[in-house]
Amino acid sequence: MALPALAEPVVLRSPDGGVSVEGELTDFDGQFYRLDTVFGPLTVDAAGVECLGEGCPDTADMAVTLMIGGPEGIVDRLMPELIKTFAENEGLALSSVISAEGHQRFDLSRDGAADAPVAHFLLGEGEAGTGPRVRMTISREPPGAQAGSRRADILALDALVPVVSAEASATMVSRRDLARALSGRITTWAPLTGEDMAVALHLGPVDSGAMREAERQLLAPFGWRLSGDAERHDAPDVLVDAVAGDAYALGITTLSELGATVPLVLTGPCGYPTVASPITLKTEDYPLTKPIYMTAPVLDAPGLAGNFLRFLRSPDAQPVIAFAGFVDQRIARIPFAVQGGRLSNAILASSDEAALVELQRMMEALGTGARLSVTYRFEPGSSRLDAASRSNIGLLADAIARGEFEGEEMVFVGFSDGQGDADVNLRLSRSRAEGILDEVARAAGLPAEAFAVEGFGEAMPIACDEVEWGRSLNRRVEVWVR
Amino acid sequence: MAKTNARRVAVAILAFVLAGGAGLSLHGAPMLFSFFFGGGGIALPVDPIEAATLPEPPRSEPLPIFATPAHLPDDASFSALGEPCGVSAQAVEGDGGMAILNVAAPCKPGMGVHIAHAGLKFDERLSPLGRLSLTIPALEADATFSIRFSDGEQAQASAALDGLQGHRHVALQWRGQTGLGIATQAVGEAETGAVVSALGDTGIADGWRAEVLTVATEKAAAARVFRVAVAAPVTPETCGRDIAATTLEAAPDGHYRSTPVTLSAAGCDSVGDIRLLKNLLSDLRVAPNEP
Repeated sequence: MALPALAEPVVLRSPDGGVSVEGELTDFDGQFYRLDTVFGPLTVDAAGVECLGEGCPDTADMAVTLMIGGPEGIVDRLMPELIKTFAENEGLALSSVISAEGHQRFDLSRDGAADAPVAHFLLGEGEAGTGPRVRMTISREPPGAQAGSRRADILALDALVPVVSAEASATMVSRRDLARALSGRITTWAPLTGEDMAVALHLGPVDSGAMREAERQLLAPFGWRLSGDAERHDAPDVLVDAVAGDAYALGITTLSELGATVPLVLTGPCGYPTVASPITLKTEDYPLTKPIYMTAPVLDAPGLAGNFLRFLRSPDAQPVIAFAGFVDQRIARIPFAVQGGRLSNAILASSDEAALVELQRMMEALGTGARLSVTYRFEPGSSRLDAASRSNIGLLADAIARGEFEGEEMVFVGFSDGQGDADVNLRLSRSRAEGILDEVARAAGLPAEAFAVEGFGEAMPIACDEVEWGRSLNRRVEVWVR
Repeated sequence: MAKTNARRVAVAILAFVLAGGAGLSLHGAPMLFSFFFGGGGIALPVDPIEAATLPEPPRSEPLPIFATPAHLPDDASFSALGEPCGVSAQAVEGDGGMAILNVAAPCKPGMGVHIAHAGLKFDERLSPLGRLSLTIPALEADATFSIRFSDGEQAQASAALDGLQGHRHVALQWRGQTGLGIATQAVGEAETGAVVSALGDTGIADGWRAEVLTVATEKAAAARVFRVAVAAPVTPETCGRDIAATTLEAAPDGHYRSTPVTLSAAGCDSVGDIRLLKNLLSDLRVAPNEP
């Protein structure tokens, strides 16, 4: 779904006529015009100029139009639920219009004044009102270097998931076998399940964000490309319905659109099975976790568009996001008791007595506590936090400020991968934890001494150290409360 | 009465399919529908008024044929069959997320009634005996049904329904002859457990009508998905004009919220098509049991 077209030529002129600039109007939020000009993009304060031309917004009609663009499946499924709850919270009446082309618009109005809406929210294409316009874009890929006037946030979490039918024999697949199947290097189920049946591959459109991410994450590490011999589906629901109906189908979808299919458990070269679930996405322990980004103006958008953008980032929006089938950003607690799998992995990985002593120390420190789902991880080969982790700094600080962990001790716990010297790893993991602690404390406006810190080096790997994606899962800072 | 409703859906949907032909496609490929009927398979059309006479008068209330004026209050009046006038309405829990509403108004035979429940509203007609028995998807646990007779008299029935947790509904309602309907497609192990209820008497011109899809949400080993679309047939009567309807769907906190929706007019050159609106109502997914 393309972004709603807004570009129309206008002239902005200062009252004395001394300065005038011509270009295509790309955005107007009630305060600033954004113009594509021959000099590049320009942002002009509306108070200082007069707008001339057909494309000029009618500032007399102050009903703001919020244009929401992004992938089908997110815009169509998530946004209507969010808009409905937002309208209820604001005490506004809501009605909807479906255009002849099938595009949906929501009109928000004060009670008893349905003929004079105070805001229009457009999903995908559609005709904007004449008042101020604000554009918001949803994407599955990290927004590139934005023009300075726009800010990217994480709206929700999602993940790439390999899926099969409930009738399929396969329940588990290694990253390597999955890559072989997706690239067409294996074309039957024989190497995976022993069944001499062709793998029917179902994929999304070539140009979709989800498919580009799948190719980048699943195949690029092997230097392979997605097979040309797959059935491509434009709509994500049609894709999963096709997989659900064929016991020999294999598809790539997202956790938010599983339909009636079953996610395959993913394994690495040395085991460590993981499956996509709200918890493994929140902790990013599932390796194919993909945030859903929203990009909107940095400056406060006018009227209800601004309220809505704040609502999307608020705790109030989180239950709605989960209700719509996506993974929200509420912080979950994972009691130590349900982490038996992680612990047995750690015991199996312990090479010597020193490692077991370290595990004992960890049990003593964390055994009565609970892990929070916020986890901090780093971009590959770097000490820079990844996008979800950067967002987790603010999320955790906000939750602390709201008093969610009142009366509990919070511990930042660093872990490393298993490469190199164990003592060095121990120090490294602790210093990473200290670094995160400092950032969270600063964001929460609290002294660092309010929190505790631990480092356990390579004591609790959660993925294979033999491969880079496994090592990058193991290099992490967890947050515990006790 | 539930069976009658099911027959009306069957007939309405059969008409869509017959009229639809090439219009019935989604993503360029023919779409297979599975329609669900409360009372079984497709049946022949039945005159709704005639069908409404089918329920027997309750046996627990013998007709007071032998009553003498001496036994009755002075202001009592009677129907043509000798039943005392006055209205009564009772609601009880039915099966499958439904409530059963019984209305009796012996002195209002054949009168129109407007029924409202948790945002759901539709117009029905009393039988020639002044009775109405309906199976209605229940949208609240403390369910209230408001009944307004076309002479202005009103009644109310309430019921506390325990078994609602295991069901979810989506509803669409509109006024008059719009041809609208809910189309569902079941995916996975979803061959059972979904019912479309048609509410409102088609014989009442400009009356309110509703269709409600009800799905059992009990978890099983595999996930079940019900794709939900609104079918809007383009007919000589509906083309060229906007169609107003209202959707009712569950909010995250469980209450049902209604949203008015306007379907922009379809051109009269596309008469015979059926517009399938996939995003007006949410699909229903029942997650599998945790392994």
